[in-house]
Amino acid sequence: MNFTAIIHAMSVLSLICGVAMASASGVSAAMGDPPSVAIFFLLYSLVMAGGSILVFLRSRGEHELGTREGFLIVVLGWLLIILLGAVPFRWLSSFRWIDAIFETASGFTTTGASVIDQSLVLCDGSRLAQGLCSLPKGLLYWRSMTHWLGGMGVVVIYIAIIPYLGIGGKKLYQAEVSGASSSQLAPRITDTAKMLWGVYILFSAVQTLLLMAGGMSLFDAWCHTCGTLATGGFSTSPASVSAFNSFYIEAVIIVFMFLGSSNFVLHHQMMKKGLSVYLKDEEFRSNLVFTILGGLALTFIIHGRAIVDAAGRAVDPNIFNAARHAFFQTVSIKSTTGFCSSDFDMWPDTARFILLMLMIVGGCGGSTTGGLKHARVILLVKYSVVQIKRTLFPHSLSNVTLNGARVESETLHKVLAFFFIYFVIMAAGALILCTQPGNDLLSSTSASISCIGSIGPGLAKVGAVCTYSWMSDLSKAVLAALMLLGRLEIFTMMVIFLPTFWKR
Amino acid sequence: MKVIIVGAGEVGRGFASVVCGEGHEVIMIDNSSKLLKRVAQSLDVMTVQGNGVSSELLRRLAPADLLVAATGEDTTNILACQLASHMGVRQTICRLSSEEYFNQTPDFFPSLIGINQIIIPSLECVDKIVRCIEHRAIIEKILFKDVGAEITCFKMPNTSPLLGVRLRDFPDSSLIGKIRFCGILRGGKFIIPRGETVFATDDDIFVAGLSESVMELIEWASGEKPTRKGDRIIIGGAASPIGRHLAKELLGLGYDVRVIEQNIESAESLLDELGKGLMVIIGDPTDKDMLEEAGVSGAPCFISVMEDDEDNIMSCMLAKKKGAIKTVSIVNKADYGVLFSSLDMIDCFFSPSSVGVNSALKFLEEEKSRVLALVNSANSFVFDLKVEKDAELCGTRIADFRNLPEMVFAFVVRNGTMLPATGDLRIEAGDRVTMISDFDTIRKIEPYFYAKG
Repeated sequence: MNFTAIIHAMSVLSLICGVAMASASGVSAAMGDPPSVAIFFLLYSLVMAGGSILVFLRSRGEHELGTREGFLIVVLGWLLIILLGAVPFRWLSSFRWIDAIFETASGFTTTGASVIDQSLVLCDGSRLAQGLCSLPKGLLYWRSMTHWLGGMGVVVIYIAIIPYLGIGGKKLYQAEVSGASSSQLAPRITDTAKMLWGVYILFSAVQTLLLMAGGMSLFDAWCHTCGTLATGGFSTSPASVSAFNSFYIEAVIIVFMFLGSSNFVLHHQMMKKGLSVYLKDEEFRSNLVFTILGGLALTFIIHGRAIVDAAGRAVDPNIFNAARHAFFQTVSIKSTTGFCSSDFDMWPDTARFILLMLMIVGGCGGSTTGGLKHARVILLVKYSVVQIKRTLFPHSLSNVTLNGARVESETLHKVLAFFFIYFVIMAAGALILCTQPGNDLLSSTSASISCIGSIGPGLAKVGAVCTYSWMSDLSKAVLAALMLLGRLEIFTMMVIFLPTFWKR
Repeated sequence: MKVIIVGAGEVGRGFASVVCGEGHEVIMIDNSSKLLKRVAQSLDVMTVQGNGVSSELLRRLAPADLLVAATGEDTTNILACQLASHMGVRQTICRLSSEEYFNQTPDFFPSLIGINQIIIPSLECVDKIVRCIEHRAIIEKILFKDVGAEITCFKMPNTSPLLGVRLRDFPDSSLIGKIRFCGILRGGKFIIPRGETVFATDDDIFVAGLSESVMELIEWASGEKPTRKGDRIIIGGAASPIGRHLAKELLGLGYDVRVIEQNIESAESLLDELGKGLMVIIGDPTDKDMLEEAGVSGAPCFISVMEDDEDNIMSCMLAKKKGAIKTVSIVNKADYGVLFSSLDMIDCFFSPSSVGVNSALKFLEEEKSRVLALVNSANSFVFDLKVEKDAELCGTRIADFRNLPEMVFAFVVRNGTMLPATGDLRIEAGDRVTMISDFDTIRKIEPYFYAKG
C-alpha cells in the first residue's frame, strides 16, 4: 500500500473542504450572524487549508495509484471530510459529536436526514431554541454546501484538479461514481471529471437564478439549489419548501430534482447534440416513465382526501393541488432528495407503500442520487425474464441488452450481488434499529431504506415533518454508516474490510 | 493531442501506453471487448467497441490529430487510414506486415490515399537483428543514418581489458575523445557512467559515437573481430514474414544462410523466392539433430524467428548448448521480454510489437523534442532536443552541467555533423542534443533547452 499517495490525496480533499469552508465565513458575515461565527469559519478554514498545504507539499511527487489505493482514498477521503465538516456543528451550536457527525454524513452523502429540531439535545443537556431557525446562517450555508460537494463527489473534484493521476484517476472515478457501469465523456478521465463538474456548476447557477426569479433570496435560492441538484434535501426552513408556498418554486425544484436524478453524462451530451439524447437512453426513459406513472398513481390516490402541507396548512383537495403535491413528492422521493411539500405520512397506506418502493429504486447511474439505480432495476427485470425463458430453452445464451448493447454476464452477476447485499444491509440496519427503545417496525425499516438510499425522510416517526433527533446514539451511528455505504455503492466500502485487501 | 488507435493488440496497446504517459488523449477502437477491457483496466484511455473501418464510427470520433492503424490485418489498416484522413484526422500511421502494397510502383505514394506514414514492424525487426549480427558482443544498435552515428549496446566479455577499469582512467585517450559512454545496464538497472564508475562483468554498455569509432571500441573491448561475409548464420523457422525477410537480407549481405523449417510448402516457396545460395533444412528447429545438421556448432549466430515463444526459447537454448556462439530470438508476446532477458543462453532478443511501437513513436514529432527510438534492452527512449537561442544551456561545457544527475547526453548534432558529447564540448544555440532517458526526466530537462521566459 502506497500510504504517501493516500496522504497526498487526503491533503487535497481537505484543502477542497477548507476552501468551501472559507466561503461559509463570507456568507456568515454577509447574512448578519454574530461576528464570532464568521471568525470561526475563517480561522478554521485557514487552519485546515494551511495544514493541508503543508501535508501536500511534504507528500508531493507523482504517485502510482493502484486499485487498492484508489478504494482506500475514496473511503478514507469520505470519512475525513465528514469528520472535518462536523466540527462547525460541534463548535458553533454545541451539538453532541454523534449528532454533528450524523448531520454532516447526511449532508455529504446527500441524504438530507436531519437531527435539527427543538427536541435535539445539545452536549450541555439543553435543547435548541427554535430548531433550524436558531442556527447561524453560516452554519446553514455550510450544511447545504456539504450536499453540493458530496453530490457530484469530492473525489471527482480531486480527479479534475490533479493532472497526473492517469489510470489511478480512473480507478478513483469508478470507485466513487454511481451506477452499474461508469461511462466516460472524454478520453482522459480528468477531462471527464472537469466536464461533469462543469455541467453541475452550470445547472446550479441556472437553478439559483430561476429560484431568485420566484422571489427567493440569494441565500435561500443557493441553499435550495444545493439541496435539489445534489438530490440532498436540506432546506433552510423547518417547513421545507412549503415555507415558500409557491407553485413556481415547487415546479422549478421538481424539474431540477429530476435533472439531478438523471445521468450527468447525458446532460453534457445534450448540450452538444440536443434533447434527443435523453430519449435515446433507456435508463432515462425508465426514470421518466416511473416518475410519471408514480405521480399519476399518487394523484389518483390522494385526490379528494385532506392534504396538509409541510408547514401544517390544510390545502384545498382539488385535482390541481393533488397533482401538484403528488408529483412533487414522487420526484422528491424517487430522486432521493427528500424535500417535502406536504406531509405524505398522512396519506393512505397505498400511497406510502408506492413512495417506499420508489425510495428503493432511486435515480439513474452517474447522477447524484442513491438507491438501487434504474439501470440495475432494468437489468434485473430483463435478466429475470431471460431466466424464465431459459426454462423452455435451456441451452440458449442469455441475451440481455441495455441501450442496444449486450450486457456481459459478469456485469449481470455484479448487479445481482449488489441487489442482494443492498437488501441484506438494509435489513441488518433495520434489525439493529428495532432493538433500540422507541423504534417501531415501520420507523426502523423506513429509516433504514431511507438512509441507505440517501433519501432523508422515512415513514411514521421519521416521516416527512419529523427528524431523527429522538433516536438513540447507536441508531444514529448505524444510520450514518448506512448513508456512507449507500453513497459509495457498498462494494467500494466493503472491499476494504476484506483481509486480502490489506495483504498483497 | 487527440490520438485514435485502431486495434488493441500488442502494438496498439504498447503505443497507447507511451502516448498516454505523454499526456495525450487516447481513444482505442477494437472489435474485441476482451482486449478493450484489458486496455481500459491499465490505461487512462477511452475504449470504443466497434469496427475501426466503420465510417460512421470514425466520423463520430473525428476530428483527431493522429490515427494509428495497428490491427493485424493490412487491408483493414489501409482502409482505416484512408477513411480517417477523409474524416478530418490530421495524420495517419499505418502498420503493415510487408512492403508488397506500396513498394512496386515508385510513382504511387501512400500519401495519395491519405496514409502519411507506414510502419512495417517485421521489416524493422529484421533490420535490428541484422545490425546486432555484425559483432558477437552487440546486443542492440540504434543507427542515425543522416549523421552516420550510432548508439550501440554491447555485452562486456569476461576477458575484456575494460574490466575493472575506472572510466576516468580509460587507457586509450584518442578513442575516448571520439565516443561517449552513455549508460550501463547492470542487474536490470540503467545507471549513468561517471568518472568514478568501474566497468564490471555482465555489464551491458551503451556507447554513442560515429559508427567506425564505436566499432573500434567494441573490437578493442571484446578482443574479437566482427562477423565476416561468408560466416554461417542459422535461422530457425522461416514461415513468418520476419523469417523470409531475414533470410533475404542476410543472403544479400553475403552470409552463408541456412534455414531450418518444418513446413515443406513454406520452405519450398522460400527457395522459389530466394533461390541461389540458400540452404533449407526440413525439420523441427527445436530438434538437436536438425540443429547439428545445419552446422550450429561453432556458428557465429543462430536466430530463432518462430511464432511460438516457447519454441524460440527452446531452440535458442539448444543451439547454444550445441555450440552456437551467439543466439538471437524474437519475442512475440512483449510481456515475455523480462523473461528472455533473464535467460543467459539467449544473447539478444527483439519483440516485433515493441519495434512497431518504437517506429510509430518516431512519427510523433513535436516542435522541439522528438522521440528518435525506443531502447529495447533498457526500456527507455532516445530523445533529441534543439537548443534555442538564449537557453540556459547555451555556452555551457557539458562537464559543468550537473543539474540532472539522472541524465546523460549521447551526442550533439551541429550543422549536420555529429560531435560526441565529451566533457569539454560547449553547447551552442541550434545544436540538437541526443540523449537517453525516460519521459519524466525529459520533462525536467526541457526547460534548460528553451529560451528563458
